[in-house]
Amino acid sequence: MKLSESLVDAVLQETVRESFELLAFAEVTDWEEPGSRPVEMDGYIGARIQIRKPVSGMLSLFLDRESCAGLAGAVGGEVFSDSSRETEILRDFMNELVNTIAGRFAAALAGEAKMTGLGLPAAIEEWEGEGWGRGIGFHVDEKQAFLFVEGI
Amino acid sequence: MVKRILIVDDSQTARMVIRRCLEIAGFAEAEFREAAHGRDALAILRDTDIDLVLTDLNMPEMTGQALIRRLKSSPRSCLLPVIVISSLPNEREEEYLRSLGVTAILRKPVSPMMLTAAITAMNLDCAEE
Repeated sequence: MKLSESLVDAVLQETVRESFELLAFAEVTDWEEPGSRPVEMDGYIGARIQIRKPVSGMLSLFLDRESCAGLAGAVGGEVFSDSSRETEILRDFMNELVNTIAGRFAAALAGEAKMTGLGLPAAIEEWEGEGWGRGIGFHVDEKQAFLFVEGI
Repeated sequence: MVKRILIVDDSQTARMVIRRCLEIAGFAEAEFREAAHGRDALAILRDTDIDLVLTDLNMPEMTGQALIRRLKSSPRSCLLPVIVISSLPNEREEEYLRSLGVTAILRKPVSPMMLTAAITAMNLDCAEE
């Protein structure tokens, strides 16, 4: 199934907005023109997931680390305030976030057919900046975030 | 009366969200157990009497589907209520899970209202009642 970029972008924006609101109680605003990329990834944390059905591709999500910690704290409360496990907690939170976005995105594209498939989410250990597909910038509670779409 | 609830998900964030939703839904006094995948869940189920299982599907080590098959094929656990909480709707998968005896299938992220509705439909009592 080959989809137009404008349809993919519209469905993604809706599913990103829903996912941040429902999982993290956070507001998504200020969508930028597709193609924007973070210049410097220091201070960001990322996670990616493969979509297998109804389309094939990869989604990668980056959030400002400080913003991510704030969102994870709002969801997890005291359990997520253990500073010795901060990186593990933030990666887990990012994985669940990108998993939720991908699930809702795949479901929206699948429609009535309801045939969807995802890989397991994974933390992004190294940022190379190129070859990750189209980057879309937006803001979560006024902090910059990026979503990359590859192969869709 | 639901006293012990097992939450199975490889994401600690997801387990936390589900637990908070259950607490809001009236299960604040319940005893919660958590497992990161099906194999962990089976180990807990071997040693503990559990009243309700909530499980994800897409997990490493042992998937939710494999866990449910094991539970539903054992005389000891075949009547145990199971709710699936997954990010993916898949019609064929849902039909199969229902045929195994899964009571409800919910989409992530769950809300207290979704869990309340699913548990009410199962005729399970809240721990506080």
